[in-house]
Amino acid sequence: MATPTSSSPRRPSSLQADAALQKPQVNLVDLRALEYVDSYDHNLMCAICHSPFVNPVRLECEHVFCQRCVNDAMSHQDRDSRVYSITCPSCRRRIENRAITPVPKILNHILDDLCVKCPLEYLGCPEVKARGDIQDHVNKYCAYAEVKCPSESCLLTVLRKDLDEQRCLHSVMKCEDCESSFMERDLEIHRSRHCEVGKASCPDCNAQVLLRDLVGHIECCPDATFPCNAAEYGCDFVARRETLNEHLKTCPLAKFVPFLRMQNERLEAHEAALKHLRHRNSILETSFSTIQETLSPSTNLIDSPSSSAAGSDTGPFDSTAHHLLCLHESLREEVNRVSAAVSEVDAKASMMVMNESLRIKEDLSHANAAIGNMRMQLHWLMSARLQNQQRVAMIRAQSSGDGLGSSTDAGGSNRSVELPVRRLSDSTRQDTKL
Amino acid sequence: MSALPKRIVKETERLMAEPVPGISAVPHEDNLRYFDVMIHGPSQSPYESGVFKLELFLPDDYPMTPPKIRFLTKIYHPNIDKLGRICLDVLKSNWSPALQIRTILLSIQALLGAPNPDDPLANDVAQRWKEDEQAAIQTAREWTRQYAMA
Repeated sequence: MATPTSSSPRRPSSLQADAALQKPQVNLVDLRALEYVDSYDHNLMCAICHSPFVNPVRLECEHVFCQRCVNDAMSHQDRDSRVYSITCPSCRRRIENRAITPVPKILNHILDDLCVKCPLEYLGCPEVKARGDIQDHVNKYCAYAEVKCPSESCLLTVLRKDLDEQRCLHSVMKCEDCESSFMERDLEIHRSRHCEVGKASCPDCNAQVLLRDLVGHIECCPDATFPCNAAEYGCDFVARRETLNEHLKTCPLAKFVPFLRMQNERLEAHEAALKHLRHRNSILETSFSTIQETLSPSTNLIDSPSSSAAGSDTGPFDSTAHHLLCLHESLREEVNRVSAAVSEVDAKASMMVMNESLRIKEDLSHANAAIGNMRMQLHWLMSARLQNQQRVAMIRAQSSGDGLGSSTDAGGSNRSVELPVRRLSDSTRQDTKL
Repeated sequence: MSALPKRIVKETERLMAEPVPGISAVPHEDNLRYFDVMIHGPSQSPYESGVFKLELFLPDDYPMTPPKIRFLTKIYHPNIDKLGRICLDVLKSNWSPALQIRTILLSIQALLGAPNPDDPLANDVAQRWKEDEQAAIQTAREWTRQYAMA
């Protein structure tokens, strides 16, 4: 919900020269005056102001209106209280004590999501925002909002988009044509939109046209000349509108224009594809060369003896083939030797592993025996302790049994007899746990 | 004059886009608060096939106060006086800001179809309406033919 927040204080704008361009600085967006982009549900419309609710409130009769609309309606009813009573505008039900309650939050959320145009659209802001964000937009981001002039000494405002100039745009300048004075920030708008004096001559018909109408005039000037449609393909014909139409009927190049255009498009597409392929090709080439480089040491090994053999003829080999065969033989022997060594190492390793595991097994059995021993001892200790406890319990039972009647005595002794059996089983269970 | 409130703009747009059958309201170009209104007499009433001109003005604090409406065409009706002023509760004490031009004009059209001589504005007409309804209706028909048909 856009809470009304007042940003920088209003600056005096009465000094500005052009009253038409001078608008009060918008600090608080009037949500009612906004232009809504899409159509909205008619149930969201306040029956009084006919806009989507702004700060809606609910009356006792459950009719909803804008806070301000209700206030206005009530103050009017107050003023003519001899005639009016305070009633709901929709159902005429009497509202006692002006009981108004807030509406569910969801309604406010729905209202805040409605899309609106920026209130500074008349200055050129194209933004469309959710209604809940529009205040923020105007206060902080809108390029067309008025902000303080960047010059320290100047008290006037500039549009936020002009801040980048980093200088005061409020020096008074004169329009070259109509001699009236404007601040620099307004001069451009005046020249292009409002100036009634500034004239320019049409380049074709030499007519004097208002500067602001020039673009529109050129578009419909009868004397304006246009080149043939096929100008880019070599036709030099330039003529007025009506002559041009006749020329277009006979110009062979103009007839080719669609075809040529299509060809051009195809050419461009092909060039783009070619460029892409070239790029890929270069990538492949570089990767290929890197692969070659990694391989080259081994090829050098093979190449160099043969070349030296061919060069000197004094080597021990008759030809490259022979050399290669020798090399092959030696390599095979090498491989055989290596495999023999590998199997030897393998055998050694397995022997070592076996020896080691045997020793570990022995250690394990030792440890097991020790644990068994300890378990036995523990068991003995536990049972000794249990027997002790039983004895104590029995003594206690007897001593308490003396104070009670004979019947309970019998029961108590029975219990004391049962007890050891149960405890014994407990102890065995504990034993198995260990 | 201050800018036209959004509500009046919207109401005018809607009156133009979706006019009420038998009623037209067109704002003056120089004063958008001033409307020329035409109401067709309801069928099966003495005002049938008559077209009545009215003027409608939206005061500055509309919609908090009712619009001011007056018949320009002479009409023989117990609730409408010689000056064209209308006796209708929603135009006075029973006005509500939730009402609008279109609903008010519909109320006036309904008033033509159902005259109420017990709450008169034109006393002579109301008197006649009560004493001799047939004759009064006949007069109303004649007036309609005389003043409300082009």
